[in-house]
Amino acid sequence: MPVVNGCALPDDLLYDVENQLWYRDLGDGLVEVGITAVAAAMAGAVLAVTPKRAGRRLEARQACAVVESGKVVGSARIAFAGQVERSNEPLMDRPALVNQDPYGAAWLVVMRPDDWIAAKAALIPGTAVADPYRAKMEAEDFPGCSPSSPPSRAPGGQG
Amino acid sequence: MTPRRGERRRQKRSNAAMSNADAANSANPAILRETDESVKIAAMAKKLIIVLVNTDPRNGEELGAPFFHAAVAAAMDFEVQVICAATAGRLMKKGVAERLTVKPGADKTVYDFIRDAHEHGARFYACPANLDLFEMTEQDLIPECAGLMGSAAMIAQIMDEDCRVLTY
Repeated sequence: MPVVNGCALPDDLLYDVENQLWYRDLGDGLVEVGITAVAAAMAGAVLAVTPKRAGRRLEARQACAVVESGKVVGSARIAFAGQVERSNEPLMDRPALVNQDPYGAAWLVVMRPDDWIAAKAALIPGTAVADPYRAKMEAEDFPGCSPSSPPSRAPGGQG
Repeated sequence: MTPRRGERRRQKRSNAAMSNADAANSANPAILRETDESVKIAAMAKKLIIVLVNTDPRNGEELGAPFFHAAVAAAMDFEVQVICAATAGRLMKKGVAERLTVKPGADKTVYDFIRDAHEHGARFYACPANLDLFEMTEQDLIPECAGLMGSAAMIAQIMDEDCRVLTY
């Protein structure tokens, strides 16, 4: 499994590096979606997650979830058009899971893409994601993930 | 409050129809959930207008939430407009928000909150009366401010059924 600057990027997943999302092919035309450990670390301690509800239709680049921390508001923009089949609504009660288990319990939605074959071709496989992600982290001036503790809540709270 | 006779009849018919639908749906919970979600999605407004009138730049604690809410709503793909009027209009003047923080010593300024919301797609407007009130011209507005929005234009949008409003 690639580890870039302390950030794990499992090689059995597909990635949209620009939007910092991972995709897991579940078969039967279903794809699980979440945010990467890099995005979670950049956000700092995640305070709220709001995934789109099951039944929603999303177009490419629409938000499948919104993640809030003391530092940022981030929208998880999906790479393809499709239907939200499942929504991880329990995550709304345990947003810290985004920092603790970004590739497991903190999945956001399960999508049924309109055209998974085409969408998949535009994503980067985990086996090849290290270099593009390293470049992304350099461009964002992000030093890396700290395995011991998620970054503390940034000052400046929204009230 | 007791409904009038005609309303009572309509309500009775409506209740009967609802009971039939409930009975049918309760026989099939999956249909109930799907129908509920479809109705919610169809009924959901697309536009959020945030009006800052009472937000006082002299009280830092008031200044984060409106812009944070604007950022979140825009991140959720809603069309967001933030209209700053009265005292809050000062925040659209260059150099004001960047000197303010929500709490003392914070590294994130109020201007950073405005920029975050703007980057997510929220559009900012100042009230035309602010120009006179605060002795400024349109050139004094921060670049994130798309310009001026008059009261009639604001109210016309607010009365649209596709719109919700938050005031601060």
